[in-house]
Amino acid sequence: MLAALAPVHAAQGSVLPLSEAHISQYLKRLSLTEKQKPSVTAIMRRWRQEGEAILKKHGITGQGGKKPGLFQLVGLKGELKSVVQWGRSEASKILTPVQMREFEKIYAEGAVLIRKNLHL
Amino acid sequence: MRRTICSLKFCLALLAASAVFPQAGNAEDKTYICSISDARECTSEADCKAVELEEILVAPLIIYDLEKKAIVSAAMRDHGREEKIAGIHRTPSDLIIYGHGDDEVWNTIISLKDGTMTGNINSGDATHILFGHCAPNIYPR
Repeated sequence: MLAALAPVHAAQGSVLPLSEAHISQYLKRLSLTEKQKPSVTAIMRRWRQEGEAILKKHGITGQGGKKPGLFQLVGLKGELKSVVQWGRSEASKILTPVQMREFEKIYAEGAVLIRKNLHL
Repeated sequence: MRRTICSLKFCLALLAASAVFPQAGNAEDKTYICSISDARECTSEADCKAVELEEILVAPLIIYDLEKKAIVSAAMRDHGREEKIAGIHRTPSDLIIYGHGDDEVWNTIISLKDGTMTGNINSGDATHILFGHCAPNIYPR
């Protein structure tokens, strides 16, 4: 499902698979209640906002097919980790255990896509 | 399986290089292949901690090409990422190589006696220290 969305975010030029189209798909996969949707949407949008800020700080645009420098990404994963941990913590307060398992699956798929978009 | 065989080839090349060149390096060596075995992350706020190379996205195998003034990842999974070498300095016992990107500054010291390698990458408020071993590269790029 994420692979099918790849052209969408590639066109938008973001390394992160967190476009509105992606988020819409994730919300469907999580089978959220109307009460849960705004909070989970807010988490994903904040992930996108903070993640893109961190990537920009490291000079990562994901465009042009250029590989990052050999040491360019050293601090990147650590900085993204704290943002991810915040999101997981917030999500765990809102989602059921079953939903949380799907949430983790979505995260794992996203991590693979991000590596691919970084040409790693 | 193929990746494992290829990784073994690099390791065997490194071992072979160490055997053929008992000294770690000399003035004529133009390229070195370095295997990174350990990494530490240090900040002013906490003690240094061990980190996996995967976590800091550093390749476990790096070629230092002194002629082309570039270092490049030789890892199967991470092939082709590189950095420019800004400067090289030799002492009787060590090779000092350094460079920088937009946000990070790095250096590597290779012992010409035994090939021991230490590297340092400074990025913002953290520094990462790499430990490994190098040998003259017998495979041309």
